[in-house]
Amino acid sequence: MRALAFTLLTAFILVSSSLIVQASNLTVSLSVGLTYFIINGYTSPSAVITLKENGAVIATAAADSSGYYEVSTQGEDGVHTYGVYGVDPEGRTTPTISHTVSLTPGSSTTIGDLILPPTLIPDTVDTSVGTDITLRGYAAPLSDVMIFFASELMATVRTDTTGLYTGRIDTGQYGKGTHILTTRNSLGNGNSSLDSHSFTITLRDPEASTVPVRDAGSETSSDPSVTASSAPERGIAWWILHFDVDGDNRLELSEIENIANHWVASWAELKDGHCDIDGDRECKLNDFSILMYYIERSL
Amino acid sequence: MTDRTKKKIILVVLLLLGLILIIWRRFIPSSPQPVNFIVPTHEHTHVVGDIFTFPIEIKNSNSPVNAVQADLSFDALRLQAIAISTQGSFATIFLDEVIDNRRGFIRLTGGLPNPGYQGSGVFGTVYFRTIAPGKAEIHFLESCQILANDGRGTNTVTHFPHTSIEIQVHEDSAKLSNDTVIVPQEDNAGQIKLFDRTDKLPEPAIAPHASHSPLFH
Repeated sequence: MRALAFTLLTAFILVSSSLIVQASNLTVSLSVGLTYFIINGYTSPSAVITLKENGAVIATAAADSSGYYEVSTQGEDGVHTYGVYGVDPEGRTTPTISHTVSLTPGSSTTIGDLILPPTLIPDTVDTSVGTDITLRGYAAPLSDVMIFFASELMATVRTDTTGLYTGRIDTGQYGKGTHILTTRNSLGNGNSSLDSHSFTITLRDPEASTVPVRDAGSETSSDPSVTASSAPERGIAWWILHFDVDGDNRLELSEIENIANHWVASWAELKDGHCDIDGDRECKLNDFSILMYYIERSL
Repeated sequence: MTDRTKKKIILVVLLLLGLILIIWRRFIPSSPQPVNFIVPTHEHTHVVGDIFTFPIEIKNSNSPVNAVQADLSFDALRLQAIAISTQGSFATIFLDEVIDNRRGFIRLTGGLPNPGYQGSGVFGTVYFRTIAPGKAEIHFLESCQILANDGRGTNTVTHFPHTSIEIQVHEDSAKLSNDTVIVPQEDNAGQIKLFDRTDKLPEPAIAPHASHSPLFH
């Protein structure tokens, strides 16, 4: 009887051990072969970070209060091109930064310390020489943001603990015409971001009227300070000319990238109503269609 | 009434008709012809693991068009969208691109400057991978737009086609895990892509033949 009990106990122990080994192997086999891509760095606090591949969202994460973010995805081995961008607390996006990496089976590939470009929004993209332009945006907290205007470093400002920065451009020292506005975030030690979205700022002759703001809730201006004209209703051609960046009263094919950028910025970022070409108080694809119709066409 | 008088009256009437015709054509523009999306009519059967292309194509446009929004819904249980290619597209400016494999939704929005595009051609190409057997539907949604280059942005879309893909289990199941995603490197020189400025566009509810949902609010 004792011998039988001993035999049964021994058999039980052996079977149990076998099961444990199988379970252990299973865990190992599940662990081996996983391939990860990780990207981390700094942006504005609480920004929502999105990782994309071929246009598809594959992972999202949120930056912490210091602006640090880390987003990862499991991928197949091979060459991948990933794009990462952030959305600041006011809902504006940073440019997408793309990286092409070769993932190795069973290992993690990390891109570290990637500073996302700042977000940026000027209060206008069309004003007269001598009128100040104010701008704002978000970047890593308590860091430097360099403001570039007309191809030169115009100023360096500091972000607050929320990542917010503001700036002012005195346009009096610039000639009429178009000038590019961008910003860049620096964390010191030569660690800087790429440029923010750029804005083409049109500076006009002070005597010429500027384009009033037409927002979704108002047929006329929502900001009297930028309304030089008294006419409440304007024809489509008049609104179209707002996109004439070189001021020759004609939308030319050579200007198409600026025109498209300007229209999208008006809709997505400036919210100034300029994208509402047909005046129906909505910015829609047919407004873009009307804009395209007037390229290289007499107004 | 003499013959001479009759001839004068006929001449005046003809001149008036001509004048009316000129005024009509000048001030009352004709409506653009319908322009619609077409679905491919070949290769509707695939095996699980296959990668196939789905061209977003417009048909025989007699009216020039200058802006297009292609909204597709697909069976996310059986299909996975891998990428959207704009190589070879008649459009040169792209405003939005969305791939949502959770909801089964794809959007490509773009256009081109005057004089627009006239003819049959490809706007974009979606790369799909089949992930489960069965019949998978792909629908053009009613939020699709093909806008005429007429100075008003008239939507010319009149119908919203759909197609079915038959997905079968592959006899050699070992082949499936070895499939790799092969999306060609694109040569999109001259194209302007503004996707990262328009990531927040509202999207339509995903259901076949969903009610119209505008691109921008």
